[in-house]
Amino acid sequence: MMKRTYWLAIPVITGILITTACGTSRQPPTEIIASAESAISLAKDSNAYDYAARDLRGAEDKLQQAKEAVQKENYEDAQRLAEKALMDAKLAKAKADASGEHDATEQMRESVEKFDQDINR
Amino acid sequence: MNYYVTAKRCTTVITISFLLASCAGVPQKDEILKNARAAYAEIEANPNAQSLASLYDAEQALKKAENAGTVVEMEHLAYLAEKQAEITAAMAETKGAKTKREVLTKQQDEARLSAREREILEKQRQADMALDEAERARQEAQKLAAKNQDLEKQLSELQGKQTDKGLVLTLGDVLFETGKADLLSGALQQMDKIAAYLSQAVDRNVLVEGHTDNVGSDEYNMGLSERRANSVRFALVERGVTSNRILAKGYGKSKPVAENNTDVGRQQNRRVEITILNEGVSLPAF
Repeated sequence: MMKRTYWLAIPVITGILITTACGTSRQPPTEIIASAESAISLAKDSNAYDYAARDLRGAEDKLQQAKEAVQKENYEDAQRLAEKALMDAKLAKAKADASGEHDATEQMRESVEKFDQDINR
Repeated sequence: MNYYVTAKRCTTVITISFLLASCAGVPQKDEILKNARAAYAEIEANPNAQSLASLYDAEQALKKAENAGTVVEMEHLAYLAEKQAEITAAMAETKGAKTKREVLTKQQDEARLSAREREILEKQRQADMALDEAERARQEAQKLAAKNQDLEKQLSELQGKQTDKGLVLTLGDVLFETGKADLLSGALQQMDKIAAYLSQAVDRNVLVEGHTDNVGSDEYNMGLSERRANSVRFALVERGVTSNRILAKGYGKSKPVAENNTDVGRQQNRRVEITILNEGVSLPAF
């Protein structure tokens, strides 16, 4: 009876091994979806709609698809889509920040040039 | 027992081959990783990215993608790695812009400072100029006062008589050749002084009036008085006084200042009166 139970355990362990080896998830990726959502909101705060609209929309689309995948209990796809959405959102924010900095620098350059012209009149 | 062992072996083989199949090398690896590798190579060469933690994240992400076991997993991780590299590039741009701004701020501060210094120097210069101007004005006033004093002195040396019309100087008979209009040396000295004074007192005009005693005909006396007055006028013009400032006129014996019945009285009547009119008084019309 003991031996019989031991034998039955083998396929179960194998299944677990396969699962771990390829990172397949059996749980909805709640955490990563939350991260993507907050990253999108941060990107919006950085005016990503003005500076990196394509990346921000990509993030929003992928997040939506991830949620849909969760509903279909396709957690593996959901996980990947949410991870992609997170990166898209981070990129949107980084690009928006860079554009903002770039604009501020240009403005400053103009004001410095104007100041130079004014005092050298 | 036998059945169990066989089954166990079988399961192990299946398990291992499963694992091998799922984690075997991906044939299209280079194609899948092309963009991620290129993006990473770019930021690796970007000086602004060197100190960013994101550069390390991008490196790790690419390594993970390189080691992925399946096409699907590799494509997914390659996407993440490429994005991480792009994020790093954007952050490097941010850093570059900030650095540039710091430089600009410094430049502006320096420009403001030097402008302020220039402003101060300019104000100093203007203050100095104002001081110089005041000093010059003071000296000018002093000079003018000295000149006025000088003029007053010259005027008093002429020993004239102040009247309502102006200062009247009388050239006596002894300063002319007898019966003639020619001025003698004593008169010429007077002429020098008067001309010198008039060259300073430019808004004073001169009236020259000749007079005689009652000896001789009216015609003769009129002629002599006119000639003597003109002679004085000519002498002044010769000494630089503008001719239209001087009016010469002869009155003959018509305006005596003394009795003509004594030698002394007659001598007093033979005279030329030079009136230096008060400032701004114009000559009478004839």
